[in-house]
Amino acid sequence: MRGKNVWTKRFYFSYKELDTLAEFLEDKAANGWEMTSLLGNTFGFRKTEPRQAKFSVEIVEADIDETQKQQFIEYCEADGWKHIFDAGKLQFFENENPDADPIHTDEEVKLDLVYRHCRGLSIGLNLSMVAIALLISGFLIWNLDYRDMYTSGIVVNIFVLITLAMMALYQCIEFCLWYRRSKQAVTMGKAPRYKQTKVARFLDIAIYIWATAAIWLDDVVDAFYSQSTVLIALVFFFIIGTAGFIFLYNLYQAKFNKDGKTHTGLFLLLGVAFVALMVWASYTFFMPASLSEDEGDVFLTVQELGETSTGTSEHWVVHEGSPLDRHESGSDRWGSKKVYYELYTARFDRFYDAIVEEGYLARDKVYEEVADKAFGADKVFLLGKAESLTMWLLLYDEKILYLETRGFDLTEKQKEMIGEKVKVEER
Amino acid sequence: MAREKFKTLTEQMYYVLMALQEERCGVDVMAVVKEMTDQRIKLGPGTLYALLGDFQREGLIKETEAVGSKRSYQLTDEGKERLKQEHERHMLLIRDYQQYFKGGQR
Repeated sequence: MRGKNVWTKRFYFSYKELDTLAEFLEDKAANGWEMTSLLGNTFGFRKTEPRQAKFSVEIVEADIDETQKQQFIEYCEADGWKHIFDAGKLQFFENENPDADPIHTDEEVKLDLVYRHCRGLSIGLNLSMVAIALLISGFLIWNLDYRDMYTSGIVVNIFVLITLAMMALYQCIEFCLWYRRSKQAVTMGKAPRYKQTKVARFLDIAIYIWATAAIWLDDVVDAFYSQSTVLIALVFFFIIGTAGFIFLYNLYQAKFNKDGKTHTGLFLLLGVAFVALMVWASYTFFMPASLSEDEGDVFLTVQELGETSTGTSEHWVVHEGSPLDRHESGSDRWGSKKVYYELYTARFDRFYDAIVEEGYLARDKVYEEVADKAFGADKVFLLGKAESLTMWLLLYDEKILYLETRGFDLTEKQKEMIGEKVKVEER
Repeated sequence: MAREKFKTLTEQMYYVLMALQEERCGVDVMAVVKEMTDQRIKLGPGTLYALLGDFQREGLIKETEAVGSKRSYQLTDEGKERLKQEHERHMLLIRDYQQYFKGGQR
């Protein structure tokens, strides 16, 4: 965004493109813009007189203390380089003499420094992508067996995985090729290339937008319905919050900041608060409501079973990431009579493992399979019967019904009715 | 093939070690190298800073004084030995050159 006296502009760069960044600043200085701030990839400029100057952007070691940094700056200033901005690992210098000698005169030393920083970042980035890929593939594999899981589609998931793999591969190949070429150049006494072509930059940006869009389309949207992916949703809101903050920051700098001061510290503080607020608000107002929904009618009521009138009814559909978590459950009670059920859409083998984990069943216990044809189920297990409580597990083709009745025993007619309801139920 | 660290020294490494025969701070080292080489060797501040760190880690120089951000360094015995070895290597190069071209054109 551009105002009369201030200008904020995004400029994408990596540590191995510092010459391009320096040229960008030289170009801005020649057009009368002086750098005043850097937040992420957004540079702030203030209007000054146009001037020809040489710029240099230097990496400093991540672990150096303030004294060591000052020492480095003193060396540079003693050589005619004016320190203009401190951005942590990146230090910005300006020299009035456009023909001044560079800050680094030994290309091997500089390459070594840049390589070490880029390698660290590259490893970190790729590990993050692998972690995300594993997370997504974990959900994918988990859900392959189920037709009605929260995921919006296997194809989209595979698309996301391929995207992440391509990003990691692209990063690795591009970085290795750059380092190989640079090393060769140094060996031959030439300067390595610390610039990036427009095509490479376009690819870089495009691939990130692609990946972000793919992830957003799939898992982040579904995260609203999935407690197990709340983290992804929070990250999504974090990104939205950050983007919103950067937009507001740019707007302020371009339109309302009259004195030209950047107030970076204050804005960073406001930014953190804004993003935290976004995450909190999204979690508070969106998440709990979508984790489980009241979906109106009760599937199986005491009244339907012919047991007097309905007392209180509750019916919930719970959306999560496992067969146990994607189910509907309901209860209806009248006086001492109660029906409670959980209806799952899942294949039994995975369901069985899951409910054993949840403690509903003991793996080493043999449950009584009863030959009760009335339910119309493939298999009927009587899980327990104690006093007035009876617990059933009914296995149908791709539906599983856990059923409890309290205070009354099911009649044959009631069992038939339950079986019919399960078969027609396509929730 | 990659050069083993400090097995052979670049011109800039060589002159930095030479300048640190005496206790000096980084700014002085830059000035002395310029003077010694009549500005033939360009020693950028970034390169000097990185070299001083590397030399110190390798035990070729030691920090002798630190006043605020100003730090002074001096060659260690190991550094002196390394500089001497490099000098001898250069002398060998010169001797070989002279012997090879002695008495005629090649």
